[in-house]
Amino acid sequence: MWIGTEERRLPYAQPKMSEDDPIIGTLIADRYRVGRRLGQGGMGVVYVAVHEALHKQVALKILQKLARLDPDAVARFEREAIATANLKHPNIAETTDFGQLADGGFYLVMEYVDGTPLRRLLAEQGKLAPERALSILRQVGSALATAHARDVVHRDLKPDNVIVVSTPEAPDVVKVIDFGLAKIRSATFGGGATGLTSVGTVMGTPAYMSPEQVMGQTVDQRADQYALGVLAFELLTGRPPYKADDVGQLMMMHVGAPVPSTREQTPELPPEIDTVTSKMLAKLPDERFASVADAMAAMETAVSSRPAATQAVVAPRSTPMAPIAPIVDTTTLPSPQRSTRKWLPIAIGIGVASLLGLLVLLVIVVRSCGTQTTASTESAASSEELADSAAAPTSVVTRSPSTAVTPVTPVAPATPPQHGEGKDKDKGKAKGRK
Amino acid sequence: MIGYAGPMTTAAERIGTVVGQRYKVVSLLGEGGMGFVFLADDLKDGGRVALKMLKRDEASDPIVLARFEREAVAMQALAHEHIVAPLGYGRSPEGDMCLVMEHIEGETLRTMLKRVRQVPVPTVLEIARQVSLALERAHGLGVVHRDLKPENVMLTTLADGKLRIKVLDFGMARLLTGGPSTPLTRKGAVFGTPEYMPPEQAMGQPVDERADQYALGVMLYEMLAGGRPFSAKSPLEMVQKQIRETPPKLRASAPDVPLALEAAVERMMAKAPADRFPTVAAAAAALAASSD
Repeated sequence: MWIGTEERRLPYAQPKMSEDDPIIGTLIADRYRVGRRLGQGGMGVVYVAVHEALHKQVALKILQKLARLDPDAVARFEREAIATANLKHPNIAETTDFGQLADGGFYLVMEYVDGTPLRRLLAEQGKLAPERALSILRQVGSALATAHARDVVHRDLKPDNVIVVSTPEAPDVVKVIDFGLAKIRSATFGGGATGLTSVGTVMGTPAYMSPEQVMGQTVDQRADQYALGVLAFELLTGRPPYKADDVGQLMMMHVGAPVPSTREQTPELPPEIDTVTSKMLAKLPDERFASVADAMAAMETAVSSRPAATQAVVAPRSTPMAPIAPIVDTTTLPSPQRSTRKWLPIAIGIGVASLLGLLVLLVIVVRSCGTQTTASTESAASSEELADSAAAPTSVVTRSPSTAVTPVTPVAPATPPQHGEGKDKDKGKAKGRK
Repeated sequence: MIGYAGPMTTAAERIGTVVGQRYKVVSLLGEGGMGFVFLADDLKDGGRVALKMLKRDEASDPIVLARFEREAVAMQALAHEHIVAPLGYGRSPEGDMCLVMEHIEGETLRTMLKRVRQVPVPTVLEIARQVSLALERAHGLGVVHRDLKPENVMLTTLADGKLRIKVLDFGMARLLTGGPSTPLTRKGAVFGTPEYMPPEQAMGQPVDERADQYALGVMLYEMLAGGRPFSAKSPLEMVQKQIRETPPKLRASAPDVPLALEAAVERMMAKAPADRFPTVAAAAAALAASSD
C-alpha cells in the first residue's frame, strides 16, 4: 500500500487522524515530549515534539514496529540513519537523533521545518516564474549533490518533500526533507519479508518515479536526477511530464513514453532548457547527466547562455527579444566554477538584502553613533548562514499530511506463481518480485 | 488485517496439510511473488489439483486480493479446452485465499525450450495454433491475458503423441471493457514481463488484444530462432529495445524458416499495434498458411 495522489483515495491508505493517539503527550527517549500529529504514512507517523531540555521543536517520526525485524534489518536501518544524519547542508532538513523504542519500533528526530511544501506552492501558483523555479531547483540540486557525494540517495524526491521557507530577508529558502528515508524503509521493510533489499529496489511516488524504479532495478543517484528533472518540468510548465488515469500506465510512461517538451506548455522557455530536461528525464540512467551537479550546471547555462531569451520569459511574448537589454549581463559573471555559480544568484539576492541592511545600519550609525560594529559584521554573514537562520521556525507549521512518511512498496516485474515450473526463470529475465 | 498471520508462511510447512478439509497438499509446484502453487490430492472427488495459495503476508493486501480474484473470475468466464480450468475459489476455513485449478501433467514451454532450444517448424505452428485458440476465446470475451510467455503455456504430450496446450495464469488479465484498470500495480503486477512486453504497454499506452499477439510473436520467434529477439542487461533496457529496436531477421538464425512464416512473425511483432494482424485469428491463419 502506498500513498500517491491516486492511492490516497483508497480507504485502506487513508491516514488515520485519530485524536486519541496514546503516544501524544508521552515522553520519548526521555527527552521528546510528543505533540500533535503532522501526518501519517504506511511506515509511521510524524509528530511535532518538543525537546524538553532545549525547549526546541522537532519533527519526530515513529516508524511502525515491524513484525519480524532481523538484526540485519536493524543494522541496515542504522547505517542508513547514520549516513542521513551526517548530511550537513543548508538545504537539507537535518536529522538530529534516532533510536529504538522499547517496543522495537524506531524513532527519527528531524529539524522542524516551518514552511510551505512545494506541492502547495505549485497548487496555488501553477507554474513558477523561471527565475523562481531555477532558484528552487538550484537549491534542491545543491542538496542532492551534497547527499550524493556521501552516497546518500533520496529516492523519493517530490514536491511534498521540498519545503519552501520564506522570510522577508531570504525568500524561497528550500529544505529537502525525508532524505534517504525510502532506503531506510526498504532496509527495514523490504528486507526479510520480500528479499528485495539486495536489489535495492524502492518504490517512490508514481509521478516522480524513475524508469529504473518502475522496473524494480537498483537505484542510484541518477534516480534523484530523474526526479529533479520531473520537478524541473513541473515548476517550469505547471504540469508533470506524464499524466494518466491509470497508475500502472503512468508508471510505464516513465519507462517508455517520449519525453515531452517543456515548451509545449511554456513556449517562452529557451529551447536549451528542453535539451537539459530531456537528458535528465532520459529513460536509461546511462543516458542522463553524470551527476546532478552537471545537470544543474547545464540548466544554468541553458538559461544564462541566452540572456535575451531569459528576459523574454518575463516580458510579454509579443515583445521582440533583441532590443531588451539584459538586466544582469550574465556573460560578465564569473564563469564555470560550479560551486560559486550555483550559489551566485542567491548570493546576489542575499547580497542585495545585506546591502540594504547595511544602508539601514549606516543610517542608524550616522544618527546615533552607537555600537554598530557587531551589527554590521553580522549582516555581512555568509549566504549559507543567512539561509540557515532564515529557515528557523517562527510560526505555525504548514506541512500537509502528505509530507508524512510515504509508505513504500518495492516494485519489480512480477513473475506470478507458475502452475508448472514456477522456479523456471532464465537469467535474462527480470527478477520476479520477491 | 484480514485473516491472521499464522506461523505457516513457508511452503514446506504446508506440505501434508489439508486445505478446506478437501485438498491434501502433496508438493510445491511453483512459487511466485505473491503465492505458492501446490500439487494437492482432492480427497473428495479423487484426482489431483493445482492449488494456488496466496502467501499470508500478501493476503492482507487489498490489491493482491483484487488481482487474485480477478484471475479467478477471468478463468471462470473463459472455460476453454486450451485454458486451464478453475475448480474453486475462495478463502479456506484455515484463512488462506485459494484458487483450485485442474492439474495438468506436463511441462511448461519454458522447460521445453531449455531442453530443445530450436523447436521444429511444424511443432511451433501447432503450439501457435492452440495458443491462438485460447487467445481468441479470451479476446472474444473481452479479456486480454497481458502476460503471455513460455512460463504460462503448459504442454502435455497425449497418448497418441499429439501435443495439447493450455494457457495459464490470467492473473494479469484485464477486461477490455473495464475502463481504466484498478491500480493493481503494486509490486509491479501490471508490468508484465519485459521480454514479451509490447511497445505500447512499455510506453504506458492503453493495451488491447494486440498486446497478446505481440507476446505470442516473440514466443514464436524464440522457438524458431532458438533465442529471443532482444537481449539486455536489465529489464529497463529490455523494455527500451521493445520500443526502439527492430528484431534481427528470423531467418538469419533459422534459415529453414519459410519466408512467409518469417513475415507473419515479424508482423505479429510490429511496433505499432495497427501494423499487426487485426486479430489473433488472422495471425493464426497467416501462420497456418505460411508453410504451405
